[in-house]
Formats: sequence, C-alpha cells, structure tokens
Amino acid sequence: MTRWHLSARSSLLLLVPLLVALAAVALSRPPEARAAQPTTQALAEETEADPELGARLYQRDCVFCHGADGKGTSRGQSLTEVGPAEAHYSITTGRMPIEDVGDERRRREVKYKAEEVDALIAHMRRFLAFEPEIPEVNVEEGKLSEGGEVFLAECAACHQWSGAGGALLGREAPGLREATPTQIASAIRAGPPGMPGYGEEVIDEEQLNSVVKYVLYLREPQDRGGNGLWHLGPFAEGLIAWVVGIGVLILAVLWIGERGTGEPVAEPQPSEGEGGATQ
Amino acid sequence: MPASDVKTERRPATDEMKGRRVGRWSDDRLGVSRFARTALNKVFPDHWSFMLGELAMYCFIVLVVTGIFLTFFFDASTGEVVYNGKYGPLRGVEMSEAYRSVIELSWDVRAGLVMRQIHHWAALLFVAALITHMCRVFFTGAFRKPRELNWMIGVTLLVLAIANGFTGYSLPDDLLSGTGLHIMYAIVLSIPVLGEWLASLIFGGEFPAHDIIGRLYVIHILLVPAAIAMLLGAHLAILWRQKHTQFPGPGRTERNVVGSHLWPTYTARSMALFCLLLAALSALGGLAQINPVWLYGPFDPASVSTAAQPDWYLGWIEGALRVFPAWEVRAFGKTIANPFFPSVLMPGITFALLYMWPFIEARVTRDRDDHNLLDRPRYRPVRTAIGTGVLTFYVVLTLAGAQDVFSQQMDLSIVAVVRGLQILLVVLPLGVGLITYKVCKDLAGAEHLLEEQEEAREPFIAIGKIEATDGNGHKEREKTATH
Amino acid sequence: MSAGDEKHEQRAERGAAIAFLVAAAGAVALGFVYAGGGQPQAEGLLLAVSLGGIGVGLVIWANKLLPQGPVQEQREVLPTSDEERAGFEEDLKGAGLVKRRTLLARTLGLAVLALGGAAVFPIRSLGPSPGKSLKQTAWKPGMKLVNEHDEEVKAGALSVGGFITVFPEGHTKDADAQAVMVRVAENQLHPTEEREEWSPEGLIVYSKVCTHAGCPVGLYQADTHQLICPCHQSAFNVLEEAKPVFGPATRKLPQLPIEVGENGELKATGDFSEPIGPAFWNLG
Repeated sequence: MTRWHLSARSSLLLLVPLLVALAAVALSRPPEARAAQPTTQALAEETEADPELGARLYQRDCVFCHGADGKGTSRGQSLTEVGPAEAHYSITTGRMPIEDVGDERRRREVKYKAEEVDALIAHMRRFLAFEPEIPEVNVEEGKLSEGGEVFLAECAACHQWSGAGGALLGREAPGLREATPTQIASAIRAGPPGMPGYGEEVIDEEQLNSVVKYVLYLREPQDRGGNGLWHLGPFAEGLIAWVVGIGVLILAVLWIGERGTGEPVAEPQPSEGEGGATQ
Repeated sequence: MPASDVKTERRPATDEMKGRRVGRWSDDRLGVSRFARTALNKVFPDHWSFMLGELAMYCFIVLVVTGIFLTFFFDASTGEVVYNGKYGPLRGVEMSEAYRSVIELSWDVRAGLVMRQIHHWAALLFVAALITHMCRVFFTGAFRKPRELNWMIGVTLLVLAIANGFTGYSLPDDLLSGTGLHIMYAIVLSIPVLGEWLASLIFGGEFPAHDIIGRLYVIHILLVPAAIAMLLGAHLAILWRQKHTQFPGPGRTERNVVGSHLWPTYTARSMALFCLLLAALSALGGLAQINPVWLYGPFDPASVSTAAQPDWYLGWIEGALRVFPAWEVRAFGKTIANPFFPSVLMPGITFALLYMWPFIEARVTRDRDDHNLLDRPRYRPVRTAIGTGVLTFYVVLTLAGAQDVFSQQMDLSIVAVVRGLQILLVVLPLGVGLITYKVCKDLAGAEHLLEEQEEAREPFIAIGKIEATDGNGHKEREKTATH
Repeated sequence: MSAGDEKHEQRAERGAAIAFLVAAAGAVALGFVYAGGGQPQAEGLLLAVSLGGIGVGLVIWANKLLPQGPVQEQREVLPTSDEERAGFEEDLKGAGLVKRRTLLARTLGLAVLALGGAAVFPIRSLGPSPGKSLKQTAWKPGMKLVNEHDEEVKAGALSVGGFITVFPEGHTKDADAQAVMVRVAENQLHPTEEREEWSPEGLIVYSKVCTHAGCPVGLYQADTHQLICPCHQSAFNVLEEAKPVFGPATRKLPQLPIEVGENGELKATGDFSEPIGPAFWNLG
C-alpha cells in the first residue's frame, strides 16, 4: 500500500488539471448555441424524377419482398397502405431497403443519391397510398416555444426531453440527433412502425414546423449551466457527484489528513511531547 | 480568524494586545477561559477518514447559505403565469409561478444559476458524504457502545437529508419533478389503511393538488433543515462528550485519544477542507450543468418524459419500484397496492435495520464493552461481508432505477435487463459478501503470520489486540520483519 | 531547528502566500465578471480558484507550519459514580411527590392526553376527506372529448395507429380524467359483450394514469398495440382491454365508453370502467 504523502505542490498539480479539464469540457461547446439553420430539404419534384431509373431501382432493391405491384409478399409488408411520407422516411434514413429479410429496421447509410430517391418514390407512387404525403417543412416559420410544448406533450414520452431516444418494449425509440427536418416531419405524419402517426388534426402545419425546429434546437440546446452531461438527466448527475465530487474530495481529505499518524510511531510509547493536554 | 501567536512577528504587540483585550472582556462577563482552553486543546485524530463526516457537515452549511439566496427569488405558487424572460424557447409559455421563478433565477438573475447549481450539487454531495461517513463508521465498528445513540442520530440525519433532497428537487414544478411527485402520491396512497387519508392530507386533495408546492417549500426550507441543524448539534455535542474513536496503533489505547490539537492545527485543516469543498462545489456549479429545468419543461400532469429518474439518492427506491414483480394483495375487499412493498416496506425495513444494527450486533457478539479503539474491517469478516453485500444490493437497486437508460445505451431489450437485474439483486450481494469474507480472512491471516514471525524476533509491547496502525503500520512492519 | 527545516518552512510559507494571492486575484476577477453581466462558467471557475486557493494555502499552513502531532489526551470515564447516580435519582423523585400524588399524576396525564388529541384536529384541515373522489372522475355520459386546448376531437382526427390525449370538455386540467384515445383496425378488436359498444370505429379510450404509480401512460407502440408507462415500464395491451403485459402494474387501464355523435364529435357514455390510477386500501 502506498502512503498518501502528497506534497503541497503535487496536490495543486492534481487539482489544476482537473479544473482545467472541467473547464475545457464545459466550454467546448459555445454556451450560446448557434440557432439551428437547417436547410429545408427540397421536396421531390415529381416532374424531374426519371421514371425509368425509379422502376429499375425498385426492381433491383424492393421487388423481392414487396412485390412488383407493392402488394407485399410473405417476406415483406404491402405498401398500398403506406403513404409517401413513410416511404420517404424509410428510404432516406436507410431503414429500407434491408439486405436480408428480418434485418432490423434501423438507421443506416443511405445507398441512394437524392435524385434516385425521388425517382424511386415517384415510381412507387403508382401503388402507394395517397396519404400521408411527404410534408413540406418550413423550419424558419416554426416557433421554438410552441415546438417545445408539443414536443414535451407528444414526443418526450418516447424520445426523452433531450431527444436522445428511449427504451421501449423490445426495441428503442431512436435518438433524434441525425434526422433531417423532412424525416422528422415525415415520421410524425406517417408513424413508422412502432410510432403513432399524427395527422393534421392533432399536430397542425404550424405546430409541425415548430416541433421540427425544437428537435433541431435540442441538438445544441443552450447549456447555460456548463457541460450538459450528455443530457441524460439525474442519472448522469449522480454519477458525476460520486465520481468527480466524492472522488476529488476524498483525494483532498487524503492530502489534508493522516499527517502525524504515520510519521512518529516508530517508538511504541506515545510521544507526549509538544504539550499534550493531559487533564 | 484572530491573529494567532504563531505567525505574528511583524506587529506582535498590537495584535496580541487587541486579542488579549477581547479575551479579557468576554472572560470578565462569561468566565469562559477555562472551557475555551480545554476546547482549544481538544485532540482530534489525524486519520483522513475522520474528515468524511465533516464533509457532510460543510455540505449542509453550503446548502443553508446558498439556499437562503435562492429563497429570495423562488415563488412557491402554482398560479398560472407566462414567462417573458431571456430564455427564448419558453417565452410566451404558460407555466406555474414556481417554475417561472426558477427559470428567471437561472436565466435572468445574475449569478442565480451558479447559486442554484451549487445548491443542487451540494445536495447530491451531502447525501453522498453522509453515506461515505456512515460506511466508515460501520466498517470500523465506531457505532459500538457507547456510541449507539450517535449512530441513530446519524441514521436520522440520513433520512432527513434524503427527505430534504426530494422536497427540494420537487420545488421547481418542472416535468421531471412533477412526475416524481405523482409517483410519491401513489406511494403514499398505497399505505394500507391510512394511505388515502395521508395522501389527501399531505397533498391537500387528489393529485395534483395546488397546495403541494407551498407545503413542500415550508418543509424544505424550515421544517427539515431545522431538524437537521438540531440533530447535527446533538451529534456534535455527543461526539464532543464521548471524544473520537481512533484506529489502534502504537500509543493508542482505549483510554486516550491521539492526534492533533483542535487549535490551531486541526482548525486550519478543517477550514482548509471547507474551502476545498466549496471550491469543488463551485467548479461543479459553474461547469457541470445540473437539473436544466428549462429543458424538462413546465409540469403538466398529462405529459411525461422517458428516462425519468429521481436524484441519485432516491434511485434505490425508484429501482425497487421498477424491478418489483407485478404483485398486489387483494383480500376481504381491501387492497395492498404494489408500490407499498418496494417503496414503503423495503425502505422501512432498511432504516429499521440501520437503526437497530448496533444492538443487533451487540446481541449476536455478546459484546457489551465500551469501545474507543476501532476495528480494522479485515478483523471483523462477518460484519464487513454483511456490509459489502448489503451495499451491493442497494447499488444494484440504484442502477435498476436507470434501467431504461442502460437498455437504450447498451442496446439491450428492457425485458432482458429487468430479468437480469432481478437475478443480480439476489446473486450479486451474496457473491460480494462471500468474496469479502474470504478476502478479510486471507488478509487477516497473512498479517497474523507476519506478526508471529516478528514476535519471534523481537519483543514488542502489545497494545490492544491489534498492533498495526493502519496501512502504514503494516508497511513498516514488513520492513522490520526483513531486517 | 536545523537550516534544512528552516528552508522547508520558508518554502512552505511562500507556497501558502502564493495560494492566498491566487485566491485574492480570483476574487477580484470574479468581481469583474459579475460587473460585466456575469457568465455562469466563469463565475463558477473563478469562485473555485478563489476558494481552492484559500484551501490549498490553509493546508500548507496547517501541515507544514503549525505544530504537528501526534499528541494525546486522556478520556474521562463516561459513567458517573454510583453515589452520584443515586443522589440524582433521589432528587428526581422530588421527595416522593410523584409517588404519593397518584390522583394528580393521573388526572394531569389525562388532561395532557386529551389536549394532545385536540391538538391533532388542525391536521384534519390539511386536506379533504378522500371519500369517493378516488373512485370517480369528471367524465359523465354525453360529455364531449376534447384535446388539451379544450378543442373538440372528432372521430376523423385519428387514422389507424394514431394516438391522442383527450379530456372531458371543460376539464382539461383534471389529471384524473385524462385519457388516451387510439385507433386500431376494427377487425382486430374483439370486445366482450359488455364493452361491445364502447369502441366505435376502432376508436378506443383508456385512462392515461398508470395503475401502478400514476405516471401518464404516454408511450404508444403502435405496431404491437401497447401502451407503455415511461416511468416503470409497465406495458398494457390495447386490444385486450389494456391488460398489463409487462412491468410492475397489476391492473388493467380503465376503459372509457364512448360514442360517435351526429357530426362526428365524440362523447363519453359514462365514467371509466374502474377507478383510475394507482391502487389504494379501499379500492376493493
């Protein structure tokens, strides 16, 4: 066992990097978060889409499970009740197409270019349901305060107040840090598998813009209090309290205490010099 | 701090004379010199672990001071208002006055947020320091006669600290704490026979009754802190009267205390600790964001966020609620609700056992003697094993309180995580206890062997049963043994 | 004291003095930050520097420049002598006052007890009698379903897989009346005879208050038809009268019977099927 025999200077040296590290972490993000400036994704202009390309891609990547007419097979669901919003969401987040039947539907690298997506969806419109249509998002028109209210009322239950996602039964609600505005809006309208869909009667156009704006804001919220601690809430705070708080303080206590106990005890008799108070 | 005569070479005459005049003046009127002298010469053990309790005490002082500042801005009312301050995403949002005042304190009052965050960090550290201190007392047997009373006061302080933490956490009336309050309502409601009445009387009606924030406020800033202050006073007075325990070692006996004088050495150390604690809390308060209620949003009984955890010190109850199976007792037209077992009965048993531990142990070991010398944990393998096993149980429960965060972060099914935790809760404490027992035995055995070798070489005056001082004594011993 | 010791002391003294100077500088800087409008990170950091400086200086002072132990102090024996104990006990008896005046002692005891009982009465003022309020909510037959802004919710508002929080008209702040409405495909619902009329067009309404610990059951996993409580992860199957399928909840979510009005508006046809929310002693 080593003795805690820190000199004054080495202890200072111990505390200084800790403070600096804390400061660095805290300041690594600009305290005033930049206002989210997402580019509103240009909506697929159907006129521009190349019908031949769409058909080819569908033939190559989708037919095996969903069938040529989109009615589905034993391997994949029918698409006739799926609207363009969900198709757009699934394709642009890489959830579809999957490599093998039974692969998990999760965010992957997208294998299409923008015009390929447009062409594919244009092709699929021949059998897709009309509704819900790919929503047009205008983030600039959204109001953060309204978005926050909607988000906390409707979304936070699954995606957490910070948009970090959450655990569900046998799956998880994904974090919202990577989704584009159109994807967020599409998911809200369509309700991809596992998520309820929200029609205009529940979240209207204006609220949709606002809630998308709020989701984008949550990626870099104004952490006025310093480092956001991963935005995990009280759990992370408790961890820091023990590891950093109690950890540092025990180091301090080790440094301050124990002097005098160890040093002069070579002789078995108590050293009574220095005016011990014998009453 | 009055000028001590240690370092006053520059102007000895004036400083000393001033000090003396003040001393004489008060002694003429109060006659305190004799007592004050004994106090100055009181001996405090030097071992570092004796400062853990001080940490908790200083946390409490920080809580009181920062808390007073916060009261000047907090508005304990649930009246509906609209926020119009600096924080954009909440501007124009309807909320309670309590929530608005916390947002304004955090965003619109200069130095308000730092104060609030220091206060909250201090609360988290207060309970953590209490528990650390308690572990020291437990594992070294410092609770034994004559200190059972102080142990019980200590347990009460822990209960009060947790209670005050919870009431404070609930005050901002944000979504997370509101959810916590709703659960607390269900917990109170679940108490057999009295539950309905208790819930109604505490909350002022059915949840969310509007009186509750105001009531929690009074409890948080008056009732519980006053109780803590009084019990802390009693704790210290008893400590003063009984004097500190100490680790065994050369010159340390049951009849003396070895260490440093209160004045000036220990006072300087203690003040240093206070300052370093304050520094750590300030660093946390400024650099690590805690409880960002502006992101949680105002409370709305119909809204909720996933990953809803309480502050860590209630994590064990939250965890118990989450992993307790779906049992409920229904008989003769009466119901004992599910939350009663994990969140009333379990904590009740926990604290009852904590209160009774000194007496349980005395009865089992048939040891009714006074003890001023501490045990080294390895020489009490059964107690140490029980302690680590029980601690493990509560650590697992605390982790279970964040089981949804784990299952999401680790990409595991929550069903599997809950099942796993249920098994771990039984297996892990037993395993840790057994391993602790074995390790204690081995350590003690090795030391004993060393001791025998040494005794064969040189006659050593044995003081107490155990001769080593602590980690250091052990090391020195090794050196002598190799001569 | 040797020369080496003296040198040590001088070094320590200098170290402590530097620490105190750093503390002073930090405090001055803190003043400037505050005067300049304040910035939480700078405030916390400078406060830490300042207090840490004092702390470090004091540690050096205490451990290098002040008398070091160990010194010892004798303990007194805590228990007092037998004579003293006996004397105390004698005095406490007050020359037999308590013993002889049993009548007075008893009546005084009674008075104190009665007064103590009376002092409990004000506690009753803290809240209303729980009575039946735990077993009923604001829902009454014919009451319209509205959203949180007190706007009418129509049958067409939800498509299959949709989910909305509803309240009784005019009671959007009633936490115990909140309910969730979901729409499922009609052919998936197989209600019992009693509940046959309760879910027109596949619209089905349950209490939003979890029967475990009262959190809002705000999480709807649409493809598996499960309502989940994010607090303790109880899950309820919407297709089977919201029977608990996972987690600590033991009881179903109460269902609200509804009907579709002439203009597509939705109305309750009664209160919830059972008392809502967490269980209590007299739940039955």
